[in-house]
Amino acid sequence: MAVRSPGRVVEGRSGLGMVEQSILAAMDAIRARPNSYHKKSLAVLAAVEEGIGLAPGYAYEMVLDLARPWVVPIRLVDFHGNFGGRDYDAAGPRYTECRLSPAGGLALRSERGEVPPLPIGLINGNIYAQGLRPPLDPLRAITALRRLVDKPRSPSREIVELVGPPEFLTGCDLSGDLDSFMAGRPTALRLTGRVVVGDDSHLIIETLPPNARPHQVIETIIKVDSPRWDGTFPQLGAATRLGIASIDNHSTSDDVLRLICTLRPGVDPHQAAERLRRVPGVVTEIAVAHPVPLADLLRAWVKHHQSEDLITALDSLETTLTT
Amino acid sequence: MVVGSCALFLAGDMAVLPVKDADIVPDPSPQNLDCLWEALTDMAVTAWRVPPRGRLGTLDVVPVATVYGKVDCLLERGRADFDDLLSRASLAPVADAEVAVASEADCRRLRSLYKGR
Repeated sequence: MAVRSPGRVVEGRSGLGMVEQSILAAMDAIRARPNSYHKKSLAVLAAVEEGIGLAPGYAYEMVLDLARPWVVPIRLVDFHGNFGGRDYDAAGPRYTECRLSPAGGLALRSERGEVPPLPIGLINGNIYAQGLRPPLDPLRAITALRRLVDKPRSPSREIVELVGPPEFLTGCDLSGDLDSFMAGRPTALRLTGRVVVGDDSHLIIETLPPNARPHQVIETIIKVDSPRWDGTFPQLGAATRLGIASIDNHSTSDDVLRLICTLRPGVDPHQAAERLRRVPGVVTEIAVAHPVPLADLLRAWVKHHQSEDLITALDSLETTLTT
Repeated sequence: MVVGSCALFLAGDMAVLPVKDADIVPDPSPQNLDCLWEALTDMAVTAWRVPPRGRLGTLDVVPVATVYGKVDCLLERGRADFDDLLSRASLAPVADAEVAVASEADCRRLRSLYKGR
C-alpha cells in the first residue's frame, strides 16, 4: 500500500512554507518585531528579495494575506495601514508598515529551535496560497493535539470530533463530503453565505465566502434578476429570477457584512432566500485535500516531535491567540 | 445542444445528481457562435473572462462561470460532430423553452471521452 507522506507540514517546526518563513525572518532582520515599531513594508520586501530573490509584488501579497483576519486564523503579521478589504485593494507597500505579530514572533523562534515546534502550518492551512489544506479552528486543533500528546492512542473519531470542520473565518455555512475530507480524500466543500429573512419584503446577506467580493456578488444578483427571458420564455424567466427589486450594501466594515435585498411585492421571501443561496458568489466550492486522514496528520505531527515539550508549545500558542 | 450530466438529467437520469455544470456542444456556424458569444457575455459573472468573439471558432473548450452556474462550451466537439450529434438528439422542455439534448448513448460516449468514465 502506498503511503503518502504528510511532508513539511508535519516535519517542519512551524509547518510554514519557505516564503512565509522568509517573510518572518526578513521582518526580524530589520527589527520589525512584536514589541518594536512597525517598519515600512517596502523595507520588508527588499529584505525578502535579498534573502530568497522573491519579487516584491509576490511577497507583498503574502505579507498581506498573513495579516488578514479573513484569510488565516493565526495572523503572523501585524499590519499598520490599509491592508485591503473584501472589496478594495491594499495600499502600496511604500504607504504601509508591518511587523511580526506575537504569533509570528513565536513561529520564527520555533523555526530557529528556540522554542518547541508549533502546529501553525497545520492550523493555517495553505488555501490562501492556492493549496488544498483549509484552515482549522486554532483552539480546537490545539485541544486535539493536547489530547494526542496525553493519550497517543486516542481513537481517530475522537480526534476528528475535537478538531471539528475547517474554519473558513467568514462565518459561512459549510456543506459537502466532510467524511471524505476527514479521511484525507480530495473533495470539494461548499461554502454558502448566510442569508436571513428580515421580514416579508427584505432578505439580508450577513456573510459571504472568504473569496467573494461583495460588490461582485451584488452585480451577479442584479444580472441573475435581469428580465432577459421574460419576453421570449416567461416561465423560464419566472423560474430563474430572484424577485429582488433592489440591493443595498449596508456593511459597516469588512467584519460586518450586510447586504439588504428588497423584494418585489408578492415574492415569497423564503423561496427567494433559497434561490439567493444558489447564486455564484453567495455560494462557492473549494477543493480541499489533506495528504493523509486529518487525525493521522495530527498524530504524525505529535509523533514526529514527541521528544520535545509540546504541551508548553501548545500552551504558549494558545496564550498568544487568546490575549 | 446540451450533453453531459445535465443532458442525462434532462433525460430522466437522477443518478447523475448533483449536476455541477452544463456542458454544451454549440452549432459551429459563425452566426451561431456570434449568438453564443453574446449570450455568454451577457450571463458571465465577469464578462471580460469570455474569450473574444472571433476566437470561439478556433478554441477547443471554453469554460464560463455564468450567473446561473458553470457552462463548459465544447467547441471542438461542435466543429467535429455537431450535425451527427443533432441527428440523434431530442428536444427537452425546460420551463417554457425547448432545449436540444444529445442522446443518452452520445452523452455517455462523450463522458468517457472527456472524463474517462
